[in-house]
Amino acid sequence: MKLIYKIIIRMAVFYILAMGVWATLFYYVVMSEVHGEQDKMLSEYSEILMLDYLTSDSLTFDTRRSNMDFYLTHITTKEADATPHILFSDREMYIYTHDDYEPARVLETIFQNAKGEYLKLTIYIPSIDTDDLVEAIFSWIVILFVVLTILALAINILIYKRSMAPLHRLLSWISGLKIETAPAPLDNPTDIQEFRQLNTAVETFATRAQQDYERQKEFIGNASHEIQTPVAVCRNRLEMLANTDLSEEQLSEVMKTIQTLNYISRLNRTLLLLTKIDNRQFTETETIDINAQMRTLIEDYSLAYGYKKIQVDYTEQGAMRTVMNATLATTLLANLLKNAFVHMADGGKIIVSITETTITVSNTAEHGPLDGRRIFDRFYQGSKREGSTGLGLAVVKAIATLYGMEISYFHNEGMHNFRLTTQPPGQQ
Amino acid sequence: MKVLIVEDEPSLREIIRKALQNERLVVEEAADFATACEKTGLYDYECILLDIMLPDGNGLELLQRLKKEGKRDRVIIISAKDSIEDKVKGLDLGADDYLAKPFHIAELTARVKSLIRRNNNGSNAVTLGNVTLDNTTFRVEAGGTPIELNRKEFDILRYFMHRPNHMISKETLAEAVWGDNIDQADNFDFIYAQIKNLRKKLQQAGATIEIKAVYGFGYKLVEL
Repeated sequence: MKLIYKIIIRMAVFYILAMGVWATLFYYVVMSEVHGEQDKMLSEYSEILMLDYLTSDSLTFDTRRSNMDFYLTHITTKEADATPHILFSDREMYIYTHDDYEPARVLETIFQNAKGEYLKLTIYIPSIDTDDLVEAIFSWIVILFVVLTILALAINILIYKRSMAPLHRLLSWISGLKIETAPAPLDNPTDIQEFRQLNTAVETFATRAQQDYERQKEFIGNASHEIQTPVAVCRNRLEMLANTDLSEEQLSEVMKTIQTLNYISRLNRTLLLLTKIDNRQFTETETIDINAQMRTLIEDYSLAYGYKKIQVDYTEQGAMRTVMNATLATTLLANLLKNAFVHMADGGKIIVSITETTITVSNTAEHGPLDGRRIFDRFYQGSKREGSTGLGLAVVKAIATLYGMEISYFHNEGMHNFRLTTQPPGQQ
Repeated sequence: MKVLIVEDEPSLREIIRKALQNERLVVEEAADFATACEKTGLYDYECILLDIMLPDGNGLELLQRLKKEGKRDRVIIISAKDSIEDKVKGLDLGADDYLAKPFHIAELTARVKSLIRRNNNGSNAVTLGNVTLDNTTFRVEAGGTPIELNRKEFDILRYFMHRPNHMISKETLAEAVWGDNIDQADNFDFIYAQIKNLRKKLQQAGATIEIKAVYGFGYKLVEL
């Protein structure tokens, strides 16, 4: 969620709460004000009426011109004792002038006449319809809320845009960063101190990260390179030793050591290859007939792994031709195939299918699904296998990335599936 | 038969010297660019093994100089830089072969001998015992009797013919004949089948050479 939306939502929630509290308070203040005035009026009239009655023994007060009404009832002493002598209340009363029942403010006063009889004077006046009031207050509050929100929004957006501009410039600069290339100079002038600090910090880290990456890459390349010669020396000495008269046991040890050295050498070569792919050092390209390459490779591997009794199903649903480096094309296909052949139990099955834009290599899974997120990582191996570098799929991934292809792994029906797509959606 | 090794790494230089001396070649050594220049200026060599990365110069520069001076020394570039650009550049400059480190000793001696052979008689055929293998016509004869070989059998025999008396491990052979893609196979039974057929064909043709198994590890081509 964008920061501005978060701010707006929070603001709106706060407004709703604040205005709700304010509206309730407002309602009670208005009502108490109105009741105060009405009660004062009712008290005054009731006193006049009582006086009138006690002096003339009749009620002559003319209320027809006001909207007040009253009536007098006799009550027993018992009743009089049970109720307070002055009582205000809100009730629905018949209003003569309106000829209807309406909410009214009522004052009941109990008094004694000269004979000692108790009388109850009920006097009432139509009061404010509270429902109407609530409705009115509510609708005005809503209007106020909408107006305030729109206003606050407009102001906020304006202020936000103005003051956050350096942040947005910085963000777009960051999203343009690539670890492989030196970052472009950051042009983001601002007088806000926090943003200035952020600019400096981010630019420093980006530059350092890029330099570290560069150095690390160089180091791997150099280290692999430097290791090649001593490895070659060791291996050559052993080869010379192997050509002398050795016993079977001695020769066996020598051959095993040579094998291990070969493994180191292969590891090194692969690391160098990865470095070279990442550095885009394979510049020569040509149109490669993937189908033909695949056929040759399948033939070679079927022969080499014949002892495993693996069944290979190869289908061509389309002819794939792609422009890429010839060495890398062979490496890509060979590694995909080799992965299937090597990591499989005897008697398994390999299915290879090629369409115009995809190559799918599937093989029987020995164990369950592999970790799809890590399978293309360097040195990641589901289960350690002697002599396997754990770099094959990393090389596949590096080559695929270099040519904008997409490599994916999925597991279904007891098969590992690796699919290479030459034209991922949206990148045609 | 004089060979010059231009290589700064003493260990590797020593190994190459020993290997070539075993092949009865006369070996001279140069550890840096200056010494190499001096020696090539003074003497002629049948073959020069040239490392590209030298402490005080570039091997390719030396190659350029040799060609400019009209020297006819054969040059094999040996370099850890197994990059195509270097290879192409080296061969463009007139190198006769290119060998990437790390290489097998048998490979190196085979290349050197093949170069010297080409230098001497201009032919691309190699002979051992009564067997002759022609690299250009792909014909194999034993005492005049042609031997019919399939492609892989021919490749295997050629590999052995260029490296007689050297023990070739199954792994090395697989890599050399079937390519890099095979190097990780953990069972080389498929080689055994090919070798068996090849042996039978050689024997039937009355060849005086034999591919011998060295325990279980590899094979060696020997003259009977």
